[in-house]
Amino acid sequence: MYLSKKKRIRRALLVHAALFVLTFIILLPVLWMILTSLKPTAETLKFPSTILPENPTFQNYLAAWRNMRLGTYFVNSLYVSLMTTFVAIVLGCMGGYALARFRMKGEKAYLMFILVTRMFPAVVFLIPFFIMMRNLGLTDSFTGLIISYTVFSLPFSIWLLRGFFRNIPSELEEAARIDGCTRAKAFTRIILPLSAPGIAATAVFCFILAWNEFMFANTLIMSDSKRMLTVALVASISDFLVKWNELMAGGMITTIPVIIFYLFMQKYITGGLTEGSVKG
Amino acid sequence: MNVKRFFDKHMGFFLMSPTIAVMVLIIIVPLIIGLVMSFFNYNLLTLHRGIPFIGFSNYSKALGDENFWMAFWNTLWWTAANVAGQVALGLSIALLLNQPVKGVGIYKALILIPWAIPSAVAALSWMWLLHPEFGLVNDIAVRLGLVSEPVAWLGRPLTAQVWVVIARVWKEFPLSALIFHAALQTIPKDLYEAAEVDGAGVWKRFWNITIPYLKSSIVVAITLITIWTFNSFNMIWVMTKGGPGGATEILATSIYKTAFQRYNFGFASSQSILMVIFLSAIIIFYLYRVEGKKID
Repeated sequence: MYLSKKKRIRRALLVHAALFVLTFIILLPVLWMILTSLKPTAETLKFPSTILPENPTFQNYLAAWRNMRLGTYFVNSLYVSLMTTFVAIVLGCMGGYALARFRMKGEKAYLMFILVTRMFPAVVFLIPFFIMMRNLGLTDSFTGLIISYTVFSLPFSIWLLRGFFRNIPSELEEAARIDGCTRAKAFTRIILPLSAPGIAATAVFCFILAWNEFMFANTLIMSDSKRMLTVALVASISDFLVKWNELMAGGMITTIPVIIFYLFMQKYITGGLTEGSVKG
Repeated sequence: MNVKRFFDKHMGFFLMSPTIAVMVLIIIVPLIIGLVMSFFNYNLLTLHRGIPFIGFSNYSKALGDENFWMAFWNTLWWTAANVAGQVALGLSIALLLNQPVKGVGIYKALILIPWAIPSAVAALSWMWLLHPEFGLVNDIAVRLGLVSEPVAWLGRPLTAQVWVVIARVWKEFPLSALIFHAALQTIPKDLYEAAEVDGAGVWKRFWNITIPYLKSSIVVAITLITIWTFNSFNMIWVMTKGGPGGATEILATSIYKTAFQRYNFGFASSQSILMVIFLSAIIIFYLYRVEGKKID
């Protein structure tokens, strides 16, 4: 180090101060959501606002879960997201492995195609999907929604998993095959265990993609009891009297599972997202 | 040749065909249906009168439509402002995170949070922040004396345009921060130290070392943010539904309304295909410049 100790400490303090202030401002909307979710209704209708809740309460979470029926919607979202993930991972493992290991005609074109579809606006798919689902009787059904989510999650999972499988040296498989393993056996015994972290990361991304989705869920599901969590929250602001404290509690309930996943998956996020090109 | 060996030999084909079949069914078929629909007067409200073929009428109607062009220009502004905001904020944070200072890792985890929040929830929390009577933004603005009484931020054209951009930049900048941070870490640290010993100031080091190293990731970030923002729908839909008076109406929200509020699916299809045509230049650039090298 060429810098004097004094200069280094001054720089460290400056960087920390700048980051602290910026992070605080950035997290302010989230903090406000948390604080509001802990306030009784009367307190949210005060102006100027009370910054910290005067009478903090968890009542809003219970109210959101029961009165806003978020319990039902939570289960709906969970089911659709898990099924979407399952389909994307099973098909993605097959396609991703084939693309990683076999030479095929049109492989490059196929990969390009996968990338391009990720860049189309969602309405381009939504309009024909609505008509198709309507004719197949799959509107207002979880199955229809899961099928439509596969449009986004499958290309993404094929792309990501291909990358993970390619990172495993093919010599490992070849050795197993010389020892008499079939390809299928080599895949399940060697490739799957070695790429487990990659598959887990892909699964988490697919899950979140479905969990956070709004536009398709808002359009393809009509009946109230089949709504997804995000749609149910947004629908509640057209009520005559919006209870923002309960709504923010509902927002927290929707967000917490995702944030927990993210904190675990941090190191995969940059690579995974820029390569697979997920929509924001 | 027994079955097992036959399967083994053609495994690539057996593994590929299901995914190709699914992709054709859920991606190619809908795209073709959408394209075909755009040449018909496909309106759910007049289905009993049939679905007449009308050639390019939907397209010429869209291209001659004032509202379509208004949405187009709004989309361009919305995209440009988002790209500028996300790149600037992302780059500043990434530069700070890259300083050789202990304990900055915690900030890296924390700034990721906005991006993890579902966009519908993020939009709702911004609506609450901007609430015309009890919102925190009004509270702060009044306390600071910026406004004398609470303002309906999303109820006026100009402020609504500004706030939807702020809300989305807030939600999306963490991704560009992460992209830039990853790129910054590839720069050898002694390069900076050598430059500092030689007397190069902060700006000189930034322009001559940092920017050249970051160039390609800045191109990637700008291209991706452009595509995603151009296509985005959720934040604006939840916050303003394109209002007030069309001030925040972008192509995605306008097409959505044409299809699912006016049930004019043919017209909406033609507009969505025009949207893809507008985008194609930048998609081709991205594939050629950025991803083309990576696929081998």
